[in-house]
Amino acid sequence: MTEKNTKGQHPVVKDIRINIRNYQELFSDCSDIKMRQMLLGKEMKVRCMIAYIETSVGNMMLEKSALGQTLNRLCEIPSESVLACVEENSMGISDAAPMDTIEEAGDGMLSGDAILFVDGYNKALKIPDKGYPGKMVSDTESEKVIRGSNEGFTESVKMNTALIRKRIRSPKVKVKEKKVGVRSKTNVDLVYIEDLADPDLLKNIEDRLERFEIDGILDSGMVEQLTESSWYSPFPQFQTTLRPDRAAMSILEGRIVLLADNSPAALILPTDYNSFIQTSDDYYNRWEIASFTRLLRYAASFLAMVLPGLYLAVTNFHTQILPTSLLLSFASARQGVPFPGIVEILLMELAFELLREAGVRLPGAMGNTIGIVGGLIIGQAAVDANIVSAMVVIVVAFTALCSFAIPNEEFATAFRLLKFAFIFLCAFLGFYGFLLGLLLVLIHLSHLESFGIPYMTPFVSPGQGSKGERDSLIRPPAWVLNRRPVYASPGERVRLRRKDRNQKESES
Amino acid sequence: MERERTLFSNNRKVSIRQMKRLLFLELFGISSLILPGLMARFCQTDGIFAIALGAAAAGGLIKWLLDQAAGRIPGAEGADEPSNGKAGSYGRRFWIKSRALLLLALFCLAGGFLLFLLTAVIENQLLDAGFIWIILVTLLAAGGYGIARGIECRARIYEILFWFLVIPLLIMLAIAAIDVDPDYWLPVFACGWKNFFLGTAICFGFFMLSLLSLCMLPFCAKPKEAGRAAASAIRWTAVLDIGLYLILLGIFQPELLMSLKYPAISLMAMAQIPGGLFERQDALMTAIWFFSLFALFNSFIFYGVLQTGRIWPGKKEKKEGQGGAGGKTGKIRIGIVLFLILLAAVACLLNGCGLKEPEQRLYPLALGVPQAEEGYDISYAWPVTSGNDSSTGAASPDAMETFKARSLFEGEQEASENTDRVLDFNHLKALVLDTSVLAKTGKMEELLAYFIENENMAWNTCVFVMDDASGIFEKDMGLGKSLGIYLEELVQSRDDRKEKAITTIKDLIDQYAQQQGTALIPQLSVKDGKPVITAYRVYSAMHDHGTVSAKDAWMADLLMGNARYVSLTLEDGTYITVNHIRIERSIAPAQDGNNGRTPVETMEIRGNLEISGSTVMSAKDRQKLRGYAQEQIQTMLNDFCAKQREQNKVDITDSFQKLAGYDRTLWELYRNNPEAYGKKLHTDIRFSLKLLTA
Repeated sequence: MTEKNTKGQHPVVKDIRINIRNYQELFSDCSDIKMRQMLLGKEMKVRCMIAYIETSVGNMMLEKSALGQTLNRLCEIPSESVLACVEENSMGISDAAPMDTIEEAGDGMLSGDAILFVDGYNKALKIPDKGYPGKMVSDTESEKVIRGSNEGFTESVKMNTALIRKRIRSPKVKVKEKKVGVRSKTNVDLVYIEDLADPDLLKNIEDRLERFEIDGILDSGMVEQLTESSWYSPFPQFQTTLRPDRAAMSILEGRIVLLADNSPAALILPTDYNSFIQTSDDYYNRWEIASFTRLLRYAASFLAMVLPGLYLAVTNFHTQILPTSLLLSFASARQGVPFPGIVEILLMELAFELLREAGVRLPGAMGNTIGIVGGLIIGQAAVDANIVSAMVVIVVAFTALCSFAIPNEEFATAFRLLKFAFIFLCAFLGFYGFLLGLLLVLIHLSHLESFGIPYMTPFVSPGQGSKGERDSLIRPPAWVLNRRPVYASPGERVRLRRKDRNQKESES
Repeated sequence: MERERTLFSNNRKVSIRQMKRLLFLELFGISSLILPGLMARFCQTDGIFAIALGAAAAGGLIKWLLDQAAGRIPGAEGADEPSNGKAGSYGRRFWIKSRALLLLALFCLAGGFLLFLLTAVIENQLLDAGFIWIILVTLLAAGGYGIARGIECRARIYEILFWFLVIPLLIMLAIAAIDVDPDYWLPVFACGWKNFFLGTAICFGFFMLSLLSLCMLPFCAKPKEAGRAAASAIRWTAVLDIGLYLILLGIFQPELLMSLKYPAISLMAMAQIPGGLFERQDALMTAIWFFSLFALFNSFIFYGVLQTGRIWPGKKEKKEGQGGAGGKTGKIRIGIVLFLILLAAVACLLNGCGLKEPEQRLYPLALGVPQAEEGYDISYAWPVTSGNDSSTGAASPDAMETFKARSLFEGEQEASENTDRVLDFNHLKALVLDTSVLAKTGKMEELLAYFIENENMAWNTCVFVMDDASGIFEKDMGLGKSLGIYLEELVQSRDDRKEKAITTIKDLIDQYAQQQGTALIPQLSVKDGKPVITAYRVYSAMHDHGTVSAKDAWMADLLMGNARYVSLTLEDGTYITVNHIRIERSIAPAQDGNNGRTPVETMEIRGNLEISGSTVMSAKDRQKLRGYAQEQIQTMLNDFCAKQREQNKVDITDSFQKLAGYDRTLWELYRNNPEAYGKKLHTDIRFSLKLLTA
């Protein structure tokens, strides 16, 4: 092998035999990596080697890829011109990148591109091709909307950044790329708008990405957990989204989107409770219906956490709250049920969680079957067999509906977990338990911050004025939403101006 | 863990809005719970002036103090807690430590009282006595957790909670205000200067709790505005307290108000949300006092822990000047305390469960107190809920049980023991008293004392009397619904009477507290196997004053201001309806023959006349009929009123209750002798009708 340079890497030399030997040594016992030698030029005198990962590069002769076009061209020109052509990059490949060392070339190949070594040329050329196999752009599985695009992120970070750029075609959209994972070398991109995002915030997330060293990052979820400050909290401190339009919307608000390769889930930071309740089509629909559904979601998030507990508190401790006829119905329905209320609720809640888990793991068609089995057979049979009362089935089903109405799955998970705490508190302490639980959750949420933003923004003072915080319980009419939220740089808070008003003023 | 860099939020700083809301809830929680009772005791109807004066004085003083103190805060904007580590001379250090020690003791005492109060409220309203230790321990744990999160976190909690607490409170107050009788706000300036100043001083003391904002000042983002914020918080607290007091006065009157433990919460039990969504919402509304009292309790702990930091500062605290709540030392201290508290809480939880499932309770909907030679016979009628068909519920047959006991408490206990269930009186609909029980004032007082002491008892239960009350409690009468619900519907289905015409336990408790007031109690008898109302007993000042027939009851309702409309057949057989009834009354003294002052009550009753079949009558005939009806009803009312006064010895217009508002000299003359007033009273009723054109 050739001598290493100061970085401990092997430089690419003009003698292709040395380069081939070094490269083969680096990737020994890698049967998925293909290294093909061939002769270029009309007279076939110039030796070259192309290296690529099987399936990441198309059939060069058949496909009209950059690599195929390059090789065709190099085979057609005279041998003595090949070197000059490669050196001057006169083949018209826009992003062919020269690599100085064998290791750099190896990293380039591992990111899904092809590497071309040409005899007499002391650099390796990284030529993009179709890249690693992955899903193409398709509809999102969750966060669906009735109005607006349903396009979802893919598993390729490059594709995902392109999907964001497609929506914000501004040179101020910046993409900072980082490699995270000592062995996985996963690309992590930070996407933001230069003049909108707070520079301190950008520095903060960059620092946090530098704060740990890990062997591999396989999904953005791992980055999320390693970079959040309150690891013990059930509430997520990054907002995840599978939707490029949601990510683009956040970037326009001055937030930063973190994309990880191989993950269709983008992370948005900073975030707050209010952001988790919002959906994309809140802004595509008229404000009246958007406000109504948003209020429903707020109520749903609360009920998803407390409803089973409240049921226990009211029926076991504070019967005076219920109308008499309803109370007597409750009492009648429970006749013959052998278990106390808390066991009944826990049985049904656990059965429901099992059904949810089974439904997620099973293939699509069978998942639906599970829904029928759970909803109709187990629910009805349990009531008929006097294992649970009909009222409990209604309470658990309504709670489940509420949890499904929360737009973000990770956020909904927090309420699902807290629901069990409320069940125990209310079962033992009644409405006092409920108030106590609520107080503890409030204390926790009031203390929680996402990158310096209080989690309960905009319901608590964010510290820099709250003029932009009109978009909370109610989604105001579009004309009112003229300021960005508190995340944006203070000088860039205005996002909507009425041109006609300015015009009229100037005319008058 | 490394502390997160401050990006947006002003860590450890409280905004003016947060300070104002926190202070408002702290003040309102305790003042609304305790002040009404105290004001009723010392100032009666003048309580509102005492609250206003106390608040004004406290607000002015606090503003001045805070403005002075704000000027002494180094670098007002963004300044940290003044560093105690920099205390120079020995004398100054001694002074700082002594002051901190004194404050610590004060905060601990006040915190202890708040914890007791909070525990008592929860125990009374939400849990039973067996839970006291669990409540204490869990509240302490929550308080510890709260202070570990810092002042900014506390301020944020109440910033969020503010509207969630204030909006339901305002709604409930608005609903409760419907039942207010403004006559109960009178007379004013009647409590005497001494009592008035005492009440004002008490209010001043309560509002001076906002001195806590002096401790908050170093954490305030804009200390110079703190004075204005504190004054504003006091102002709004006073406004709400005055509103609440007026409603409480207008419903309970001072005598009952002073005997109630937590009048504001009792008010929540009385107010009925339209639509019947909730039977009673006092348990739900306790949330307001839970959160607001906890705010104050937590403040005491927070400022107490700050003082410990001044007395025994750790190294880091000295450097950071944070006092006891921040820094590593403070967190370790709180952590150890929290861990111990948690262990204790778990231990208490394991043996503290006293809940009862809904099917393990009995819900008596009708309670009978028949005649008994000794003690009481107590009869219960509760719906049978043993069927699995949940649709049965209220429509199911009743189970009837009668127990002999020396007191009602004993009867309740015996019923629980005999049925192996807990009696839940929250849904009681009807109380049926034997006529002989009603006639014995002593027994009635015992009975009402039971209702006052039993927190679960529904005060809006309808009251009935019966000659032999045991008759309807012998077996299920096949009414198609539970007896309690049947009886309640019997009085509630009448749309010609206002809702306040229905006599409830609360009305009897009012009489018990004030020894005055008049109520009409429906008298039941059994007809065709079903209970019906055949007459009304006039019950005034805790005495039975005979009956009014069902036929004549409309006159009593009209004179008591309880009639929505009146339908009757005139002597000539014409059926008429009088609606849109308006009553104006005045009471003035008149000179009698012996040069004395006789009270003369003048009632002007106006209404719109609707004549059945008027379309076939000429305008002249209708005018004639109007005059005829007017004259006849006026005569009937005057005769009825005189008869009640002479035969039944009762002031059926209940004018004494309203006397203070009409004539202060007469009220002062008869304030301690309602009977003399009743004897001298002369009532002149004028009735006029307006004819509606067809």
